Amino acid sequence: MQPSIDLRLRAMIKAMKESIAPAIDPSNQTALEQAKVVAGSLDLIRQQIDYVHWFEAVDVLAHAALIEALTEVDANSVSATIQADAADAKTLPARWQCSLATLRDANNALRESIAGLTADFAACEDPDIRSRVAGIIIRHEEDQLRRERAFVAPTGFDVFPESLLPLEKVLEIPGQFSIKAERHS
Amino acid sequence: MIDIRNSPPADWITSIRARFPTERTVDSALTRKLEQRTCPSEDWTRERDIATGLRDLISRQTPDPFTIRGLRPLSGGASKEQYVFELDWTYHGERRTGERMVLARDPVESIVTTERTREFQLLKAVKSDIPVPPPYWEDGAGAHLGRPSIVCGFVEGVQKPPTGTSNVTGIGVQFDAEHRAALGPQFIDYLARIHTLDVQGADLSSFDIPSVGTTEDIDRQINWWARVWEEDRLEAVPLMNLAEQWLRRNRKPLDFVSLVHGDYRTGNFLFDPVSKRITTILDWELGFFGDRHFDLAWATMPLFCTPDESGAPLCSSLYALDDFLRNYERASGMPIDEERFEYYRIFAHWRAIAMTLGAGLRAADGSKTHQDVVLAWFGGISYPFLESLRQILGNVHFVSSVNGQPEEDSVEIDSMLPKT
Repeated sequence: MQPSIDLRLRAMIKAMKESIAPAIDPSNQTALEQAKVVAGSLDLIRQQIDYVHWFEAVDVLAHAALIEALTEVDANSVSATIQADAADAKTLPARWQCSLATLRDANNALRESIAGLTADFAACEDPDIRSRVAGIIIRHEEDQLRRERAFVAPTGFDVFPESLLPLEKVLEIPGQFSIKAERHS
Repeated sequence: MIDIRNSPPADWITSIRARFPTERTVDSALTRKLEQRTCPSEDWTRERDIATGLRDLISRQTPDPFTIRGLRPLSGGASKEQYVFELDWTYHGERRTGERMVLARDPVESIVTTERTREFQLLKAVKSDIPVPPPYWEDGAGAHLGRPSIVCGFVEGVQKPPTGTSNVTGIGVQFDAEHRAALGPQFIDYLARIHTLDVQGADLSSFDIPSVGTTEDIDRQINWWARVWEEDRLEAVPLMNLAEQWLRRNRKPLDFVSLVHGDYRTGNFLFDPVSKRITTILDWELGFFGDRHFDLAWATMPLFCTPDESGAPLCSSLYALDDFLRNYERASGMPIDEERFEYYRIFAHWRAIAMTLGAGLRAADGSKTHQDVVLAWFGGISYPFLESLRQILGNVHFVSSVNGQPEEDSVEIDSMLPKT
């Protein structure tokens, strides 16, 4: 059995706050500020760590759903490779052998494809297609950003408290992959 | 996954420069950044190296004997290495003892990569009209200090009230009513003065100054930050592509050429805690010539708002939005074009994200700065910035916008402010 990551992080935070930060020369404001940020960052990681894999898995599914939605708008604009990548990526979260790095790489690849598609659609001649794609992206980002914001909420930067939900709750919300359904309705 | 940005080949750099034409000195700074990307971050922050370089720089600028004392790191700011020191020297025949100075030096990469010459020229151009740190010496090429640097006089003052708190880089500073009443009019007045300043005669050779009636300014600005995003992002964000396309389709010809500060907000000025007089306006490195609406949009972004005693949001912690804008109009004598203001709200958010989620995290990822841990933390602000951008993009009449048609629906600005 290994000591838990939570235990180790809590020990590091305690050392930073109780031993290291007080020993810093008070005239060295840069070091003092960084010590504070290090303690805050460790605590942020402590709060995030149980959800990182879940977070990335949900991201993969959401990105794959977005590519499917864009394919429905205009299948000719979404290459067979991108469609296959999205289909493959959807299987990753179900595999328990899947590492975090694998999920992250899949996500980054899907994000790149989506960004490229977004730019291509925005340059499209058909205003209806442009507007539909814009609507889909904005709707997708609403869910995406709800997760991203919840993930970093302890940094204290957020200013939209009405839509800032607990991390576990936003990861559970079933509406994440409903872009297609909403569009049809 | 291989990211070409980690080790950009020469032909990639050439193509990106061609894709995003911008101001000459913006191009040179960004190109240098890419060319140095694979260079290891040398440990050049040892004080004896800095002291040697500083002595070398000053000795080339002043013929009289001088002594540098007490060189030490200075806190604050995530973009440049800063050091404070006392200088015994002779200025225009007057012997000065213990004059406090600040050395600002580029890290290898930064949340904002700019030429020090631009900042130095702006400080010299505005110093008789706006309170700024007095600029003394420039090492634009880093010949003495290893990297581009400038030396300015130290200005006394505080960023926040003695009992106040804030997040990093002065975000979230709150003022009580007394401070707001004292600081607010000065904040607006200096902004109005910057925008209407006549800088003819000043050496502004590092700037490409746009012409009224053209889109030169906004084209260069979009290309500047689209290039930063393309060069630096660690991951793609579709909303950023959408916003960039919207900005390109909806830009308008410039109606008046202003000096634009580029980062005008609470956190970037100092004040005397007793008299509550603003003693200096800081951080001119993002300054440019173009549309004044940028500074207005930047200073009023929801992420730079804090609540007053009743919970109502205050822009830059000083004014409700409408008061901010009306006071600015009165102080400057310049009208605010609502459509331009809305446009620059989208631009300001998009640029902020390119900085925090793009350049800042890239610099931290490559261990390129003395403030990597702060930049990594600061990356967390990107997601509420993105949410704010998403809301604004969703609110503007997107269908007509993507068609390149003028907006028909007016936008309820107040509805975009955070509910605090």
